[in-house]
Amino acid sequence: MLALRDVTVGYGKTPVLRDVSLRVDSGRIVALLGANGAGKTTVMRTVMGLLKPWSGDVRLGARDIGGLRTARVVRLGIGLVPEGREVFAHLTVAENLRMGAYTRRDAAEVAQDRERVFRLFPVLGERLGQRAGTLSGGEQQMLAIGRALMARPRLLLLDEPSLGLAPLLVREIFQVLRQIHREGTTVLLVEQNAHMALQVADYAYLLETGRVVRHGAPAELLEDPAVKRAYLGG
Amino acid sequence: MTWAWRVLLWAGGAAGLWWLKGTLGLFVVNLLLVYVVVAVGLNVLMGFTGQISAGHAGFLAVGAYVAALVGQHAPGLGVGWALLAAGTVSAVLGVVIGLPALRLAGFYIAMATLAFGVVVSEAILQLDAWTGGADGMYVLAPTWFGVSLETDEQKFWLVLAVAVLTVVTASNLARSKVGRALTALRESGVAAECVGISTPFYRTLAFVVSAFYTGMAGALFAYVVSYISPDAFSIELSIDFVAMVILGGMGSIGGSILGAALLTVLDQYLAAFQDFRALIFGLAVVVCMIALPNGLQGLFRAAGARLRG
Amino acid sequence: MFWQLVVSGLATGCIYALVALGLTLIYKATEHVNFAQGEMAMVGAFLGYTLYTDLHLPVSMAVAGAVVLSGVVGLVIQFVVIRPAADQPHFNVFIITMGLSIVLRSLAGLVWSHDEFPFPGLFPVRPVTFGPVVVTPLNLGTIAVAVGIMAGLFAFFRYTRHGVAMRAVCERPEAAQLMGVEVRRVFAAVWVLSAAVSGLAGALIAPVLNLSTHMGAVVIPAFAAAILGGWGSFPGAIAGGMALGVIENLAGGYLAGQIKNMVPFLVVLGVLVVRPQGFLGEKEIRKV
Repeated sequence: MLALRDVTVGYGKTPVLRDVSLRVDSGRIVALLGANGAGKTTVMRTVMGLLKPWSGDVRLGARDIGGLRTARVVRLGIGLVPEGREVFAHLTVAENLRMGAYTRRDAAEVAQDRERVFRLFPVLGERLGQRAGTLSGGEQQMLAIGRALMARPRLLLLDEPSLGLAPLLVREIFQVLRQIHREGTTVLLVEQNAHMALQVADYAYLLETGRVVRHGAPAELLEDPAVKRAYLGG
Repeated sequence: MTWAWRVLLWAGGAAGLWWLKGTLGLFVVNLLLVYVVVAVGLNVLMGFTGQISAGHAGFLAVGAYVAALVGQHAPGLGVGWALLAAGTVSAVLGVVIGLPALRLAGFYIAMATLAFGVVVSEAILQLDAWTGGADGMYVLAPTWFGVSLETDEQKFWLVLAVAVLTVVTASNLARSKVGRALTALRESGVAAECVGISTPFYRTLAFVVSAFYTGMAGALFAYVVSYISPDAFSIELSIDFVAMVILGGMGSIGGSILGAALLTVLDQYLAAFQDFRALIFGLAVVVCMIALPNGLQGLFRAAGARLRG
Repeated sequence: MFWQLVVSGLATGCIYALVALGLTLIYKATEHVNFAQGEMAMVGAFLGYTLYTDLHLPVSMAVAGAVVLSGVVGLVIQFVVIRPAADQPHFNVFIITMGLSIVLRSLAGLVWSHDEFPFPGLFPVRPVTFGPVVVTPLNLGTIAVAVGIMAGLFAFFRYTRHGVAMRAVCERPEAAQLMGVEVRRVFAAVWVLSAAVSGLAGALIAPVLNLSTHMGAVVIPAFAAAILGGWGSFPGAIAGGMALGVIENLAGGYLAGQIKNMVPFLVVLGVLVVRPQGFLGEKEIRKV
């Protein structure tokens, strides 16, 4: 579904990613692991068109989407739950969800998707009129995911969904993630919490200072001594 | 910059003034030099600390009226004292404006100084017992050790001396520790504070220095034109000053001189076409900010760098 | 006397509020401060005048046309002047709009001259008596139109897809992009909307002040109003505008005549010294 080939990209004159190649096949959950500053968020931003690749290409199916405007990428069916949640704090929960469906005109199906979001995150349904800024961190994360789902993306990118959340909430979020995946959405997940990520993923890539250094099925990576040492605290 | 370059620049400036004297007359040269003092003074504020003043005509007016009043009520006082008085009164007002401006960011300062400029004009109108109100007042010629400086040529040497002094002190200020602190403030106020630069002190200082220069320029302005009235110190004049600094390049003293010279000369040629004059001034500001954020000075510097390879 | 001054002050205040709303719209969306807002109102009024005198349109059509054409002017300005400078510091854009205000004023002078023109009012000026208060339909009509526009804007931002998107862009442009919003188009739309609102303000104030190129000075009380109410706040802009209009009128009625012109400046200086965040504004946090 999504494939990056030899992508080099950065800010100003400094490259952050060098010749990164990765694939996210349809129906999978793929995890992208790595330390702070390894370039995980840069991968997400490049896919979304917030950064234009210097070289290499980004493909969605057969289509080259590298450097396409973000709004176009969203219309092609990719959604991003950004790092730090980035909910619209001054907008109500309902308005945030409405923004999620900004690109869609099919009111009836949008209403269905809203119900689906409430099923996944019942607490959002109880807070519809509340400003998003007044929600707790966990509720904001749920809203950010719900908002992204409102666009009915085929591919959902999540950037550090567990960041700053209590362990119990992290488990809840990951359960919902599995549910979303079961209902037919392909997922690319960026995580520092390698344990959690490898539990849900079908496949994983490991980034180090802008390069892919390992990739494979979670079982292989869990056995890899280098991965163990660096990311699994063993 | 090497010494040879510097000598060449000063010589070029002198030649330019000589040429202007021949074509537009000494009066315009005097006016130009007064505006050089204002532009350099405004640049201390805008270029070094990034605070924009949309009310420098107010400081100019204060200086002009102080000089006129000194001439009227203390005719024996030397021109040096009169200039000092004009600069000091203006600088005190600079503190008054600069202190509240400390708590303000960006465009608030522009609005506050804009309001200051208008309040000064209005105050001059209201204090008509001293200032003559809308009728304005005549300015007696200044005296230098008993000699009255009546002619344009005598005034020229006075204005030139002050302008050179201004340029020299301002460039020394720019190179000093204070100047570097001010520049650091423009780049980022909070970051500068983190390395121990006292933001309030330096920001106020920039206001005071700028107001002092402009107040002195006001006195010179009064001497040069010899008749002043409140409508000479309009918002438009304040914005012309901003245009001079922008056109020359913020933070560059050479640029301010160039900007003041260029706009003053342009003003003379376009005096009969007020709307075209304003249009060209306005376009100059817009185009300059879009295409040349570092002004003419930046353009010359880039060209010079290319020449040298 | 008192209530009369209040009502006509409210009418002027509504116009300040509209221009202040225009300023706030652009500021909230792009953090740019548009010094040329008053000149945009002035140009809008002149366009309306041209429609009325040269094309002989009825007054209401001419005013509507002024609003539309002002929007076009806003779009052109955004494209030609603001977009090329979008990556520059906000300070530079502020200076650009200062230059722009000079350009617009001198262009208007070249096209229409700097004379004063009588501008047709949408409403009659013959006074009507309500109990102790004598008011003109012009004042009441101005208030009604302005309040109507404000209500319309409120509904737009609250209930429509594009309105909500504009608010989202104001808050987090990048997250809004991730929702599929074309942020650059929204910025352009904000300038159109802001210019149209200002154009309406210009057409409403022209019958009172007489139409002239000096009308752009209305940006000063508008800034004062926005700062009084709290810079960057929509309710602040409206409340500040109305308060300023009333204060100004009362000062003119009870104190010396000249004081009236000074009110906006004194208000700016006073608010900035006493309470820089205004009355409904939030405290600004300065970032590194």
